[in-house]
Amino acid sequence: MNQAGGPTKISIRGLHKAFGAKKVLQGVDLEVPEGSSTVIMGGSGAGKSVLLKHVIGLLRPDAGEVLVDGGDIGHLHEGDLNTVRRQFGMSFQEGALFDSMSVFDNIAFPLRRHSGLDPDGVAERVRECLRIVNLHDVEGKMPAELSGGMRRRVGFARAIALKPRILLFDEPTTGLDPVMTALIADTIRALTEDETVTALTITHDLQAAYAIADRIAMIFQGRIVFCGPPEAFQTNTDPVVEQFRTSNPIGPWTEAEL
Amino acid sequence: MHRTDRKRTVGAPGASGEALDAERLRCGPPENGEVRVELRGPWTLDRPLPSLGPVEAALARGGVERLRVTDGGLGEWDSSVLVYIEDIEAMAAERGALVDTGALPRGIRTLLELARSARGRPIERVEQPRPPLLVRVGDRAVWAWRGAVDGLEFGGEVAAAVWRFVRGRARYRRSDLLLAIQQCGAGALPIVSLLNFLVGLILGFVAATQLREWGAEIFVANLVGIGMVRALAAVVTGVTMAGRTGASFAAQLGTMQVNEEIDALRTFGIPPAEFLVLPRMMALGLMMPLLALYAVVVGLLGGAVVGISLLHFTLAEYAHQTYRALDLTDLGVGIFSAAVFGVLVALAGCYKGLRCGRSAAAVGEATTSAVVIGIVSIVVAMAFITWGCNILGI
Repeated sequence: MNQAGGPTKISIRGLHKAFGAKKVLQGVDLEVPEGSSTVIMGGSGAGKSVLLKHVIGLLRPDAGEVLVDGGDIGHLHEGDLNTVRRQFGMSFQEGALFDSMSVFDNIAFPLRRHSGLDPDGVAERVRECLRIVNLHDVEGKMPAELSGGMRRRVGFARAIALKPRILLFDEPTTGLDPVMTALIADTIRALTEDETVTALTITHDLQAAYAIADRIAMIFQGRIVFCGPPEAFQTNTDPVVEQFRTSNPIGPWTEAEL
Repeated sequence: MHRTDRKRTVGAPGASGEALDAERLRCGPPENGEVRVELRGPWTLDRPLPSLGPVEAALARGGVERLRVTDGGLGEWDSSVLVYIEDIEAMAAERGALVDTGALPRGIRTLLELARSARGRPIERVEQPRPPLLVRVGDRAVWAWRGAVDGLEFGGEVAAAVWRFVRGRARYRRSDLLLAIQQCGAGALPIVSLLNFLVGLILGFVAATQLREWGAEIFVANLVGIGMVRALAAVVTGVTMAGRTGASFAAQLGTMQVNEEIDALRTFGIPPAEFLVLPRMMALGLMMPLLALYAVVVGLLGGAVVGISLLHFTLAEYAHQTYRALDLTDLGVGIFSAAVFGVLVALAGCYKGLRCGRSAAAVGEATTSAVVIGIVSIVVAMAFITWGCNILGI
């Protein structure tokens, strides 16, 4: 855990984003130190995925900035953005596998494009990534033949294939059984053991968050209301944090929706 | 939880209703100022709520300080329980009695609490007044401007992708290109044959009935020939492909958008315009001229059927007249138009697919508007090509 030590890798300042009349992000401020494993928590529709998509430039901010290594990627030209994105790996909620390619080709896709590995090297790395997520004998299968949980794990394997410096995981454990959840959580922790690898994970699963995070941030009504180590999260008395942590049906989360 | 609902569902239970009530509601006699109300069996909205009569009667006897609502073997339940308890509470409040719901299942208690916390707060109804004319005009203008900018951006991305392709540096999969070629080539032949044959036939028939009056039947061959070769074969084929292939491109890319596949592609630094649009555009741009050439032949055959069966020419006569009427320029214009239509239809489909929303319904909308835009752009492009040919004298 080095949330105090590492230099800031990703810095989000005053980020605003609205879709039509719906204001999703209303001034998000978040600093992510290099080498940390930060988990963003929040209810469904709180804007977690939208926030993550800003970090990799899939969405453009209405206002505010997203700095990666000090450079603002919110206003980069698409071509330059593609270069910045080489150091990113992202897994998506439902896996987002390319439907027309086999599992092997899906994981090999970024390797063939960017790694410079020869076909043998690619094949070896693909198998290694599949081993990490504990999938066997699926290389030749098409995504449609896999279960939802398996697709998510293949998506996870594809995200880590290039050994990127910044890892973004959108709900990596949702829909997985407890054993696989623990496996994915351990993998994320193990990846961030490397001081230069930074992970940003979205989840609404408390157990997974405690297992993954050395910092937890909570997003509520388009703002970060808490950010700190898990121990501080567990003792925080902010009603928003408390309701979420204690799974209480009554509190600010539900009032906001009434 | 409006009280008016209660009137309807509780009102005047019949004899069988009474029996049913007793099964679900038991109201004991007052003991030390306390009345026990037991709820039992299934409580769901699809059956009428038991009458409040017994509770009311117990309260009316007076001296009741507390109503204890308990779970006496509650089966399946939903918000009907809450409505009922709310009504009991209201009735008790009138008589100054308290209601104790502490012995009810936890789920009911939390929901009751939630309902109470919301009470007294006005329901916020977002009423949006119709904005004044000037605002609406402005909104439309901004919307149109954004659309134009977005379209130009897409055009620019595609142009950049084409430029990379020309330099041999485009990133796409050859298998995608071949698959798209197969989809919009051989697969489309039956429908293209049918439509163009019929269009040739109709054109010939209409021409025959008119030209016969002047004894100029042989010019049916000219009319069908020039009409099909210069314009109609390309237009009919283009419209067919807009409905068939353009729609399928929009649906494919739209589904990829919904599955976040396009986002994933972009995170790998691959522009969708190159990887997805380019092969589809090339496939349709290459195959449309071939399809149009084939369509010309089929269309001319349709005309020939009229010439031979209705006007009693021989096949040789009709073919010779067609041959004399046409030159290569006509064919060139037709083929060129077909290539343009192919590119337009592919672009419309891909554009709508990439800009698709993130739901199944949005994919449907994208598909529909891809077809509409494809057909409109074909007709507009045809007008421009005809105008251009007129100026150039070809």
